[in-house]
Amino acid sequence: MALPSVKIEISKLSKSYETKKGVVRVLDDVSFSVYENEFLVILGPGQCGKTVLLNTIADIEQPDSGSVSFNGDSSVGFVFQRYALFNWKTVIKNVETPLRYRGASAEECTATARKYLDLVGLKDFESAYPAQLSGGMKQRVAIARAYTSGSDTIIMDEPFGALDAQTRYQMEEEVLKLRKTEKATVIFVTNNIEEAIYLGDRILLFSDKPSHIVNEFVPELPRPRNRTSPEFMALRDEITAQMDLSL
Amino acid sequence: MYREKKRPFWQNALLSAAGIIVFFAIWELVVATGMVSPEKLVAPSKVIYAFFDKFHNVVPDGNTLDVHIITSLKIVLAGFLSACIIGVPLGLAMGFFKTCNRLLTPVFEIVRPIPPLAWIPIVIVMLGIGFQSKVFIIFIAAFVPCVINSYTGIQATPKVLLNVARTAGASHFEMFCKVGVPYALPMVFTGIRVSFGSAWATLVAAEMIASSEGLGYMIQQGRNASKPEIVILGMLVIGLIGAALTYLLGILERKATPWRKTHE
Repeated sequence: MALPSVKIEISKLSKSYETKKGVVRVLDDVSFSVYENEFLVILGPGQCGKTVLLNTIADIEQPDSGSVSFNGDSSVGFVFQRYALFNWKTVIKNVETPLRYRGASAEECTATARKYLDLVGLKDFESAYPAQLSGGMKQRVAIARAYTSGSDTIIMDEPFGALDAQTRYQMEEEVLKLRKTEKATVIFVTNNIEEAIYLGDRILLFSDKPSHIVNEFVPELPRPRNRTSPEFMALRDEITAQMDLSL
Repeated sequence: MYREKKRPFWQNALLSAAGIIVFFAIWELVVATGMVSPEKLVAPSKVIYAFFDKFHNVVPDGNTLDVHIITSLKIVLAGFLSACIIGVPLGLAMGFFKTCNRLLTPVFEIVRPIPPLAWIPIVIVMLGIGFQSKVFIIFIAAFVPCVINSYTGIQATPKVLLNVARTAGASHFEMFCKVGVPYALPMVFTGIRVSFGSAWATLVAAEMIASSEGLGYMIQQGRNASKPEIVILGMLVIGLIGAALTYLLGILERKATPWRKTHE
């Protein structure tokens, strides 16, 4: 099998913040590669600087040192924690946003937005306002919006953290379904080990602050993955053990 | 949680009307039974009579009620609208752009605590005693809440929403127009309503600067002529028009922020 090509090269990222309690080092010399079209899960305890890492990749924040380099298009579609929808816009207008900023025509915006709303099963809700939707539906809108950007990198920052377990499972299926039709490199951040194993082609386990990579896992489990299979459980135990050690 | 049953519209209207009627009935009764002497408090029936009478009777202030109302409305609307037109964009810019904030906030913080009435002497010197000086006093009163609410509203814009726009490729100015401003809009409208309230409430004070017509002037002339029904009529008309215009502003607000009704 040919080696997959690198989409994003992250090298030697470090970042510190000044707080009242002194300087807190959030990222500590983090280097890794993200391969074209893989589903990479970044797994780490809460507050471990994963969001800072994603923001740096998306060029929202600048690192103190180190670099992020993209092979090709460096734009990203971003799914933020807790929905982050524009509550003054209808669902379809929310989904259109990234295209609008890129100067696409109104017809193109609407057509693309409809396509993704349909893919996440919300085509009947295009003229609703976010306040009228449930949490799961809101996050579907946010996912559709990220894909509408047309970027070939999609970043998801603990997208299902605020959802109940059942909705979470549904959303995980939704994300895997999108993988089948949409070619994209996905970076998915979570603090949930089971979610990481269920979704990831590859998992990078991060430590608590200052964050560095503890280990890498490649779940060799056939899809759809069975959360209760012995292999799944074994991997979960292994990761749990290492996650605790790194604390 | 206890939830009140939803009443049909006519029942609500009836309840509100009953509140007003009871208020006036108690007032009438207090005067009619002599609990308060009619010299100290005028009966509402006399005020209602004065209301209809004042549309053609020019005593004691030289003008009919409609002239007073129109004069006062012109002053208040001119002051209030200019305060909105200048204050809202200023507050939004101060709240969003750091340079504007550093540059303008100190000046605003110094001007803000000065009560509108304290401006009267200097305004008379600078603008004379005409229409402009009254409008200016109203402007000062209305300006402050416009700025403060727009400022606080846009400052509360969640960073994550700005990041959504940024990752989607928006410029800083686009983030201001398309994220900050719409996010702040409900607060801006609250500011506009508060601002209208203080504009209207400052009317009587503004008309203390030499006037020959206007509701504030009518009230003062009523007092000078010992006609308490004219004084109270002036007060009630100010109250009624204030309430009516606030109601209209509320309708405008709901039209301008349609996403908010979905919260109810």
